[in-house]
Amino acid sequence: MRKVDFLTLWNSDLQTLKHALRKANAVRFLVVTAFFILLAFVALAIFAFSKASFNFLIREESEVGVLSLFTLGVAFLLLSGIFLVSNLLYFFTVIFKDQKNRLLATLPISAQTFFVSRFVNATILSSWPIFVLGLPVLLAFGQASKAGIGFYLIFFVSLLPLVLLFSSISAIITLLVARIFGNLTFKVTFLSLLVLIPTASFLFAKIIFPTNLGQIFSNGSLSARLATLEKLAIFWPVLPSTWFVRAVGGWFFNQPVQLIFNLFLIWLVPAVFLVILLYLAEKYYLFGLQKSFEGRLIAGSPDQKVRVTKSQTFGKDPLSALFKKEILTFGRDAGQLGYLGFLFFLTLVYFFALARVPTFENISSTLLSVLVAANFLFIGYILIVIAVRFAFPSVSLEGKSAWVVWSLPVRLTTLLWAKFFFFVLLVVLAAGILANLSAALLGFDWPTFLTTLLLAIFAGILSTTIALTFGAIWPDFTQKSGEQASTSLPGLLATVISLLIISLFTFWFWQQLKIYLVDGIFWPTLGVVLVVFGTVTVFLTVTLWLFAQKAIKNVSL
Amino acid sequence: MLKLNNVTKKFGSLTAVSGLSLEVKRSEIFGLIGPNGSGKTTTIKMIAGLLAPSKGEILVDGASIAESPQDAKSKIGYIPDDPNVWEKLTGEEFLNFVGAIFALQAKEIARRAKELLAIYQIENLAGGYFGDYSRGTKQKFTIIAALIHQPKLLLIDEPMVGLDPQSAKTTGKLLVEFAKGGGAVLLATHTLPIAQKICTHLGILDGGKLKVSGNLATLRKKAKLQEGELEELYFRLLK
Repeated sequence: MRKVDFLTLWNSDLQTLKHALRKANAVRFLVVTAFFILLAFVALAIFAFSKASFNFLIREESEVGVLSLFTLGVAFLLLSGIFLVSNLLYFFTVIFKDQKNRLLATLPISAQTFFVSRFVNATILSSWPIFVLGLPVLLAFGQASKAGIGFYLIFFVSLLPLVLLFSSISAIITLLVARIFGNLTFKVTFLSLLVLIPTASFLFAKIIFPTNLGQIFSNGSLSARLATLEKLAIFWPVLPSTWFVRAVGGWFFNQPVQLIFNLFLIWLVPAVFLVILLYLAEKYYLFGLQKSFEGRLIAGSPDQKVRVTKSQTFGKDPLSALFKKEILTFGRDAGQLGYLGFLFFLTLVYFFALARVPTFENISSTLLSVLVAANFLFIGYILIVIAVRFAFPSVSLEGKSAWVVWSLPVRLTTLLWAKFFFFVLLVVLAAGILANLSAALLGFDWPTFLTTLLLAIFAGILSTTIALTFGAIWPDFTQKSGEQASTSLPGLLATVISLLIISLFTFWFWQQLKIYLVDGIFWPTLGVVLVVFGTVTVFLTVTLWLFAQKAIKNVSL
Repeated sequence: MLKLNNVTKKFGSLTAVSGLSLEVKRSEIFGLIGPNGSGKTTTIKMIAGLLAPSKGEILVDGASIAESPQDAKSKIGYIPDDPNVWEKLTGEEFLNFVGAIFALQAKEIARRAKELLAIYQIENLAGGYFGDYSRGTKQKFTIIAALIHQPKLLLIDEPMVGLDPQSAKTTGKLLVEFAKGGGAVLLATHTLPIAQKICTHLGILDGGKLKVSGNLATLRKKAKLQEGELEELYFRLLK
């Protein structure tokens, strides 16, 4: 019998792609093209913003210096952090929860081979956002610093091992979590995460911003600022971003030993992690898979086959019954709560970091306007993630249970309304918390706070409507994972469109904010942004909602 | 109670059901039998409102499923072949949810659920999550959910799959009693002995068309057999 290797297994994924390409028609081609054009726009916007920022920093120091390298390191570390945690969730889905696993596990393949095929699949599927988000930042640095060919060479030589490093770390954590939590009850896991998430986010924030940034961005002498920077953990030797920044520094300052040593580290460490990963896969992968086949990874004790729960009653009308159903199915889904935990982590990191940013009164109006606009962009990003990760797949995730609602005497639009109210409530709540906390930490004045809060609410409602509409127009009832559904083509399209609209308004908000911070006049600066974004939100919500309602009525099971 | 007038369903170039007309009256149990892909599940799904017919009309107690779907569906209890329900709802919550959609009072839902759960002796499982149930238990809960609002028409796709012999017998008895009480039943099945035992009328679907229908005596007549089990008639009529 021919030996089965991971390429044979991976080939099944290639066949799926080939099949999709064979089915391609003009409409699909247009949708895909439109998607890539939008993606290119987002990448260009990130590039332009990053280049402007690096230009500003390099001008401040008259050449590539500590400030620009520090900023590059922070950007790199932030991207790595997001990449690592989102990878973690993606790996969990692909490695343990993928529908194909049941079939593959019955085949005569070693656990390691099976694991490697899943690992390659997950790495490819989860790595592409780093190219859209990360590449423009790094290329912008190269352009702004007029780095020359050497920088781009370092950059391309470092990319693959760094992607592999983060993938291996995610996969190792996934395997260990499955091993440790495989036999724990949901309650114990939930309580552990409640302690672990804030601790991890505090530590992560401490690594990114170990000191008050006011000291770095102060008007003091460059040598004083350099002295502060040298104490920073960004130069902590075990961070991959540090190796990269040091390698780049080695190129800029003509230090070949530093350059070669750090490139060596960039290749060596991922290789070590890959070896550890293969060892752990051999040891623990089968255990985790079997646990996931039991119906959950967080298992009850073996004799507790049916867990008894206090049953809930439902409202008297269809809308409240469906709304309650949304709350229960969402609130009891470990996958959804896990992702919510990830967002909680990301937000906490952000707030811990914000606490170290100089407050409202102590910085220049230009830097302040950047901070406020960037803060709004972060809030918008979190709201888009909530909308696309939770609201978008909600119709698809009705899945094999969809027959229940479809066969009952209830309008399908009521189902959509129940979902809309539930997810809008979620994003408005998130928008409120994010706007209030960030305003308090940065010490906003009330017009800036009010504008941020209202813009965030509009952004949340708009992205939820976009996500839900796309989910209703393109439902995929075979999907079992919200993670995979949200990275499908319509899911990505919803992300890109929401991101584009919110980025455009952020840019405009920033321009108006600069005027407001100098003149102190709310109307027609911030007020106009609010009125226009509010109008656009209402118009798009109503229009898209009409499409969504029409689409859901036409869904056949 | 149920009338299908010249119903056709096409999926692209494939015609799954072609010009199907049939009627199920009160107190009748109509069994749809036929080979895989003959259109049984598609027919039931169209009546339940899960699929829209490409052509033709479906009336449930006079209400058109296309024109007044809420009215028509309020008279139906539907049991699918794949009894999957939201995994994170308990069996009892599923019954409460279905009852709430049919605008039943909480007390009424509890009373009906208690009665029906007792029939299958699964009261102790009602607080468990659907995802933890065996296939048979899931099937029992979907049967109970379909009966909780006392429908006029029951639609069942493969009623006995996954049920143990005792539960299959109980389900057969439940359907007969439902029909005796004035309800109408349309069931699609491959289990011919069960169909022969409980159905008052039978229809053989083949290639999306109703090849023959009537009671067992009519089928025997059409097969030109004086005696014989349904299985024998089925193969002869399908030749």
